Amino acid sequence: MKIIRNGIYCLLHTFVIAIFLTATTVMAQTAGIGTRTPAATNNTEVVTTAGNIIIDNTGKMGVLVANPLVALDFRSGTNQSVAIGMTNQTAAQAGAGALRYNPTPAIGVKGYLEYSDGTKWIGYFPYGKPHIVVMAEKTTQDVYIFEPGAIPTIGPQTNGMPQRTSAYLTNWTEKLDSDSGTPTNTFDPSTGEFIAPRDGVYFATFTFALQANYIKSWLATNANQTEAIWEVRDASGTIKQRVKTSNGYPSDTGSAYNTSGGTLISGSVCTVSVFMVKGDKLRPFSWISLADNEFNYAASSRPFDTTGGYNVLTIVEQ
Amino acid sequence: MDKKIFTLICLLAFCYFNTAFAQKTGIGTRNPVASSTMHIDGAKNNATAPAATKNNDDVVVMADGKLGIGTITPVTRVDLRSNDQKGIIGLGTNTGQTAVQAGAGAIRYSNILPGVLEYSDGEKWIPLPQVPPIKALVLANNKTLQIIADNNTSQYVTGWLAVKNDPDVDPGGFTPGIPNFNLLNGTFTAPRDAFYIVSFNITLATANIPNNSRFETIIESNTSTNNIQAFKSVNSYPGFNTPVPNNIVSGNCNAIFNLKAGNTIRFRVYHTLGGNRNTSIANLGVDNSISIYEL
Repeated sequence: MKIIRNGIYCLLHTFVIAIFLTATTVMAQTAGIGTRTPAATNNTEVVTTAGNIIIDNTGKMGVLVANPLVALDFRSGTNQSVAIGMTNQTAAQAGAGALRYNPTPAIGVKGYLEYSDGTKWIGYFPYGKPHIVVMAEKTTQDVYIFEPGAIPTIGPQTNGMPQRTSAYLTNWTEKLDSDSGTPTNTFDPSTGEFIAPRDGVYFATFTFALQANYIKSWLATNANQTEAIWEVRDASGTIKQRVKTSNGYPSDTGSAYNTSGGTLISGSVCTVSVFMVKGDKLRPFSWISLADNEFNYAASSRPFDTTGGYNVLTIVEQ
Repeated sequence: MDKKIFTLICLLAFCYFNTAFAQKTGIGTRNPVASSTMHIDGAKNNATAPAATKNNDDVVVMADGKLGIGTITPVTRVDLRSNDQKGIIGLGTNTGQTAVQAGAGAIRYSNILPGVLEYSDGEKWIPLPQVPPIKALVLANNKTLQIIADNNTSQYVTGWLAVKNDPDVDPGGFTPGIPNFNLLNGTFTAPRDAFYIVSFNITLATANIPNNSRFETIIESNTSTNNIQAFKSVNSYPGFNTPVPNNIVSGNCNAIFNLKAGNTIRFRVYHTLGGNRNTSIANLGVDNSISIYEL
């Protein structure tokens, strides 16, 4: 029993010495990967075919740099750049001084650098901040009646603006839907609806004009009028804001029954700056009261003038 | 003696399990930080240096791949933020790769522009801005009497009075040193590929407004590529068996254009008022105005 005990003791003694020696070795030597003779000034050296990646005794890392001057030094050879990517960390999580590459467009560029000041990401925009720009021209006679008026039925119509009935202007020809010049998808030309991709102030203008026709509302209470309206709804569809331009006409043109009557192009323009939060919807609609037939409003819808420039919309993020 | 042996066995067992299960590598330190894969103690001072400074020379690779230099708690992929305030990157030039080869997000110290950092957006090297980008801005009024004929579709407003029309000094821009808006012929030339927001107000001096006449305020560009070429705003004057009024006529139009450098914008009026009409020269020219700004 005593022999066994002594034996174990001796074995343990050897272990203890071995551990001590190992520890001493680790503490004293520099580590080399791919080399047996790392420099004494370096803590760690990793050999590559292009040169060494080293960590010196002050903790500075040199990537193919023998004597790093800063925490991370790339300055030697031909390709001395660094590449960074995007993070979904908040500016607070990443902390002040963090740098990321945001791969979304700004004016003139496909992506831009941002740094954190500890609370927010701040972008470097070489040619200007990001801007959504939408341009469309109306080349169809399609509208969508959404509030019954003289026309009692909600739904699409294909023969221009109905009388005394609120209708969205639909089926546009999209000319541009871009984020800072890069194609995006904020505008639906079939519905005429724009959905804000981010919070911001959006400057929007649309024009509409109707083909020449008689301007004559027969009832004295139905004044001649054309209205252009921008409407903002939130993501759930609740109306947040409507901005209206109304053109009132103090007289008639006469009618087909008057030999001295004449026809005339009519329309309105609405220009707004609206604040929208991400997901809000912006859509143009019109309302007109120009009918020459008090008995059959449905037959007296007014086609749009699609000869160019009269029915256009643009939306720009400020 | 039994107690000592037991202690040693426990210690050995602990070391064994520690090594086998945590799989941490320490270089220059026997105590790699928790949740690190590798911990390098540059100055080998973790056991002796004060806690506030002992990690300034450390490099860690964490289990989730984050690299910390001068910090043992990296929160970003590469984290250089150390207590000694020396956590900076030394970037050099990159003459061997194009912006496409280096890829979006690459950053270099420019070998072309002195003292400038550049980054790649995947297509080109872009200098980090040191001053705000130059943007065109034109404000002008008009008190030059101009006769606008009836039913004529090619009458542009000319003879403008600049309120703001500075020369564009962008060295890469179009015709440097020359204002973008030609006051005499009323043509704006885009200095850069950009979006331009334009407004136009015009007034015709007091004259007859016949029944069923109309007036159009028009802003035109010379391109239809990804662009709406013309914006027209119509004012209509219906009348039937009413006396012909005598008054000013005016209109307003707003437009946004997507232009390439060298494309142009012009301002036009159209009317069916039945004869020549004069533009208004009253109110020091503010009856007629334009504004153009580059987005």
